[in-house]
Amino acid sequence: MTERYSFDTKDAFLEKLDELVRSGVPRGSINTFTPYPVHEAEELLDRSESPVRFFTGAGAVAGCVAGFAFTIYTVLSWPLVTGGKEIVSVNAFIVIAYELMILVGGLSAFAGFLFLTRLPVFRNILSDSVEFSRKFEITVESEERR
Amino acid sequence: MSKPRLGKRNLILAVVIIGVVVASVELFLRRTPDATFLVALTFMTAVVEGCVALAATGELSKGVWLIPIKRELYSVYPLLLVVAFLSLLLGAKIEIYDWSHEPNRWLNARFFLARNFVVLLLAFFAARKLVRAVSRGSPNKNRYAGFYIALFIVSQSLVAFDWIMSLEYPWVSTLLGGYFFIESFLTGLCAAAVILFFRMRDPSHGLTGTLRDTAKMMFAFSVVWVGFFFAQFLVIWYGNIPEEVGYVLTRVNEPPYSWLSRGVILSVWAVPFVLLLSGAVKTMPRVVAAIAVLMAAGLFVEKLVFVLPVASVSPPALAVEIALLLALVAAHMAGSHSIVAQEVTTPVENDTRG
Repeated sequence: MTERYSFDTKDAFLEKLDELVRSGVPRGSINTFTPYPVHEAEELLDRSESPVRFFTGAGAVAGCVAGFAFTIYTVLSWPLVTGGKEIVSVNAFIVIAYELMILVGGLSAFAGFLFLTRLPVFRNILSDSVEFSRKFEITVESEERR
Repeated sequence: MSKPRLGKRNLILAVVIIGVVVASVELFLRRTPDATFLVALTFMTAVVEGCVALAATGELSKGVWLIPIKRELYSVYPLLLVVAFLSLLLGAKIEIYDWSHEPNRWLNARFFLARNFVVLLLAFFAARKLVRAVSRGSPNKNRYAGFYIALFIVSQSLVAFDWIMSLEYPWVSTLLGGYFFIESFLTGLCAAAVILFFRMRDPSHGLTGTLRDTAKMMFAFSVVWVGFFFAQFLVIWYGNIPEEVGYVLTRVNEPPYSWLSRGVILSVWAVPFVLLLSGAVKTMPRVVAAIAVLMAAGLFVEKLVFVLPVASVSPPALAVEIALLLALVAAHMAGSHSIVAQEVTTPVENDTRG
């Protein structure tokens, strides 16, 4: 069973959210739907810092290391002097390492997001009854549902 | 009891005295053609134009985070007029430019001084119109903000191409104009962080969100800065053309310029990048202000790296001139209430933005 609260104003919405959190409703069972980001709600629900950043950081470091490793390994395996530059020309490899850092960092952030949010979900988690462009909504999922 | 404020009359007096002192020093006491005044003026122009450009960008993008410090940022706009008139003093030092002995259509003393003076003057008038429109809440403020930003880009590009790049004519870099206005914008952000440090000494400040956003912008623009630097460096390194590569080789390989260059990279990008990754650091006014001062110092040293291999600089005179000019900036920010007459600030609705 899901309890649903709908509000026209941000203040009323935040007041109810605060009341729910203070009354001991588990934060994990509360979902909010707002027409624009309301950062106070994130703070009340203690969701300001997502662990997805660790996935991003790990992916970025892995991508950067892989970029340098790949380029250095290949030029050492097949050494060709180009334009009089050194065989291991770090200046040129920075571009490859940077691109791989962004690519792997971005992909791992997306993978981390899917993993942490347990997506994809095939049941309907959105409320059918409200206009999301105007209303502020809170849903509280019961224990059995979760 | 209200706090004592710097009045408009005192500020005008300070501008006149400091302007006359700097001009007298350069024209009568230090008649040797060196680049001391050029370095001081280039940095001063970056600070003043950058502060107003930051506020104007906030106007156009409707940036809420900037609202609490907009008044201080706008308050330095009268100094654009000072900078415009001081730029004429470069005429007395024109011999530091090799092209002055063989002038051509673009690089000749009169046109050089005139175009820079006119563009700086136009930037001043655009900034004045903008501040007045913002003070009145006029719907035209976005138009004036656009005008100012366009003139800011032209002006900083001219500073880069004329004042700095032409020191080593015929060396050219088409990206140097963009590089300079990014630097100027970053200098404006550093000024914003220092303003916030002083404003946050008041316990009821409510400016943590603004500080966090300013620190984020500093982080972002330090990355943009290093991107611009690398974009120029990589092309010159890869092309390895003698007339291009000499400029970089001197500054990257020869001490003391090589030490200064590494110091610039460390202070403008590497150290701020590592420190500002942390969310907690972004909410500490002292640390953010210290990083801002470090970045601004790095940008100042970079101007020296551009100039020193070509022209000499007198350290004591530079210290005095830069201190006097920055004191003017600080005085204008402190007396911002008497410069920006109406309320341009409104309370920030949401101070907990991430």
